[in-house]
Amino acid sequence: MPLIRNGRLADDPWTALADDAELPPTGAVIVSLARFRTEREVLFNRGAPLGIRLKSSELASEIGADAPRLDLIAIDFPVFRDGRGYSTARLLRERWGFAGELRAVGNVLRDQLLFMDRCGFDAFEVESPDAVAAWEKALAEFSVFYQPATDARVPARLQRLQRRAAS
Amino acid sequence: MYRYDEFDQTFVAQRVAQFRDQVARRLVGELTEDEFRPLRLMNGLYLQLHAYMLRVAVPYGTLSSRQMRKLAHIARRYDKGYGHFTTRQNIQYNWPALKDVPDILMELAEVEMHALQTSGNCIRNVTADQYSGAAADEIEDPRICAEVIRQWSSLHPEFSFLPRKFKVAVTGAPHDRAAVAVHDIGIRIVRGDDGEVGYAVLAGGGQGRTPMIGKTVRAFLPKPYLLSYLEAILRVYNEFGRRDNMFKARIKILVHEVGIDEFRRRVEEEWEHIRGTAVEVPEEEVRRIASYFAPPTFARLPAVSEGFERQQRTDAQFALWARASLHPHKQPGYAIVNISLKPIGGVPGDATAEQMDIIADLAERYAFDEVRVTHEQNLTLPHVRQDDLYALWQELDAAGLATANINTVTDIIACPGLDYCNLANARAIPIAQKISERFGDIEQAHDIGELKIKISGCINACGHHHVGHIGILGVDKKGVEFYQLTLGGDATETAALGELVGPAFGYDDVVDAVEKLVRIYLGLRQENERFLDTYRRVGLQPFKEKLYAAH
Amino acid sequence: MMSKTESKSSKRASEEGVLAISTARGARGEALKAVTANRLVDGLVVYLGGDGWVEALAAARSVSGKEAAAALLAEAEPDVAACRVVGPYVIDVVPDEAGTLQATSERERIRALGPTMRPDLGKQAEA
Repeated sequence: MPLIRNGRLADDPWTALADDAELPPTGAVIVSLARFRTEREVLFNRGAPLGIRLKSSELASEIGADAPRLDLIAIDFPVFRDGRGYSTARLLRERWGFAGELRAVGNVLRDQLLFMDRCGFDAFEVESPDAVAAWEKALAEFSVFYQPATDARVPARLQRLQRRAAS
Repeated sequence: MYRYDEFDQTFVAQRVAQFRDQVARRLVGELTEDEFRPLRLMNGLYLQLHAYMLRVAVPYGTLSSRQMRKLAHIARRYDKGYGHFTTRQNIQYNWPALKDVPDILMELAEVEMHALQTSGNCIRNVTADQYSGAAADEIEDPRICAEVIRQWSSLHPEFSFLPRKFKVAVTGAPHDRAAVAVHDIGIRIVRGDDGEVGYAVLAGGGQGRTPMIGKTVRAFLPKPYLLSYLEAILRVYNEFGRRDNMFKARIKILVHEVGIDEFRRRVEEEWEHIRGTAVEVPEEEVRRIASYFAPPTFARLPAVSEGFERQQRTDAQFALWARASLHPHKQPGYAIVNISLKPIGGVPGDATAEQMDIIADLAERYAFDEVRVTHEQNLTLPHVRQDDLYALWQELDAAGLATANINTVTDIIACPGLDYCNLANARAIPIAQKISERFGDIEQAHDIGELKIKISGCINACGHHHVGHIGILGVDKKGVEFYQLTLGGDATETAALGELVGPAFGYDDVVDAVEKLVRIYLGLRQENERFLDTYRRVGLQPFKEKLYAAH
Repeated sequence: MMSKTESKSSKRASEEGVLAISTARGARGEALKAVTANRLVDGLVVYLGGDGWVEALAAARSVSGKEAAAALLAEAEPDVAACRVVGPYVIDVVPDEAGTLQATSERERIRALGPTMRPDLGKQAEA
């Protein structure tokens, strides 16, 4: 499935590791939260990039203070209607200091990309063959935003204040 | 009222362009119906029994004449010449074609309107007291708070895929005309012990199949923290609200299941993290918004208009209308005027394009250019000089808009029911019409006094039957329409849910049953008691016994 | 105009009285199946007729038995993919004395005709 990272089609060097699969000696792996909990020390001390894949029911606080030590967190959207991942993403970024790759996986549709981008996702697994064009279009649909989120976009209310201060 | 600046205008224009693109993708098959449905719902577009239905947002129920004229134009040009005002202060069109909807939205954008978030599992259009800025008992105009929330919730990136829909209502007066206790979040503007104005925040109210009265999460929230507190509630709901069962996904179930104390603990814990951060709306922005809701330039007038007093004495019809339709205004010499959209035997909440145009014209000439939509499916002219009431009444009467039945037995709320709605089990509108005709004598209706009948055609309770003094719920029994009656519901600051009286009545019997309930009340009532007062004094039993007693 | 409306309205009222009877399967004739949907472009109610989709229930094709109904529904599926209609499904219909198809459920009767209190709207207004 195509992967968009920072707005470009990207290779995916990560191996998604099943819970019963043997841990490879090298290479970047993504494990479940359950596996992370049981093999936490081994995984951290492996000397290779570590990622966790969260189910939609697994909330940001379950990673908590470990977030800054991770290189990737993938958040699953089992159906697009399940919006827990938006809160999870924001909290990982804004509260728990996660700075690595935040990847949206599962039922990721083009009409959600802007919301996801605003909540701190920077990588998306999307089905669309023209994924990058769709991504660019989705992000360009709006230039006005009414609330602050994880992204750097300036909300309308601050733009108003800035404009008034300048005039 | 609020006016768009270029940011607001750009935003709605971009939203229209986005939806135009989505419709185009749907029509050529790039989007399946399953993919398109949530997108159209986020723009208020349903597919109902006969056709599409477009629900246009009327934020906190406030309209200008120009906007009302646009609504009339849309009814004429794209629909069948009428619109239906709803219990969420919105307007619905029942017959638009999908291909026309982008054009309709573009026309709405021209008058600073939209259909954003009138459906879908997001924060819905915020409602407020229809007497905002006019009521004598008001602490503060709730539309300032509602507009702040409207902007903050517009395409909120975190809260657009909630477990279920999310409704917020605000009242600025102690007398609750916005039914805040039956909303996911209800906000009451209150004065603290030291005189400071702030918010009492309720959560977990709602109707539907599991009706609940909202519980107080915070008795006093200082005004600067409005948005962080709402964001905390929404985040707790988004994370912990049930997603395994659609019927248990509303916030009321979460509040009920974890208990209000635990719910409050989670909200306050979340709030501690975010209070005072960038989410709060800057004071200057609040002042900017508030300036749009500054009172109009009222004339200095005596508290009582002599002409108005005299006209009531000399014209009994006018006096009857005045008694039913007027509400005290905070400004001496002015009145709040309610326009009944419940003509005897009519469809509750429907207005023709011609009526909309007439009301727009009257608002322009008599009411500082403002119209309000009430959650009881009527319209309000908030600021009218008492000296003008007689002339206004004559013009309303000529347009069939002067039925003197506000707050009486024929001022009925009814959802569209099986005549329009895909979800309905039974018809609601024809029941309202038959009750209205049964009690068509206006003098008699005044003698019965305040009586709120509310009818829903299915358990989703869009007709607010749970909070009707008499509630009527349509159910389907093996393909035949039946109606359950509840008594004692109340949507105000003394909110209560109605109690089921007993076995349901058939389509042809329910009006007789309602009449019987009214007669039972008339037999039981003591001086000056409303139906609800009598019910609260005597309880369900006397009504039940007499209703089901053999003839 | 007014008298036309009134006569339709009273016809409607008299039909309500026999609703319970007509709901019972086969009371007036053999229980049959038809396929209905909403047209994508304008949302209007349509039925699968002899040659594509038709707006009047009277012109719908009716079949007898579960298998024939499933086959009829299968015929509708390509038009979902082709963006002509949305959400096709099978409904029960019975011919009346004149042999004209009528829906048996109240919901489908309302879809076939229009809002019961507005005889000037919907398909009943065009008849």
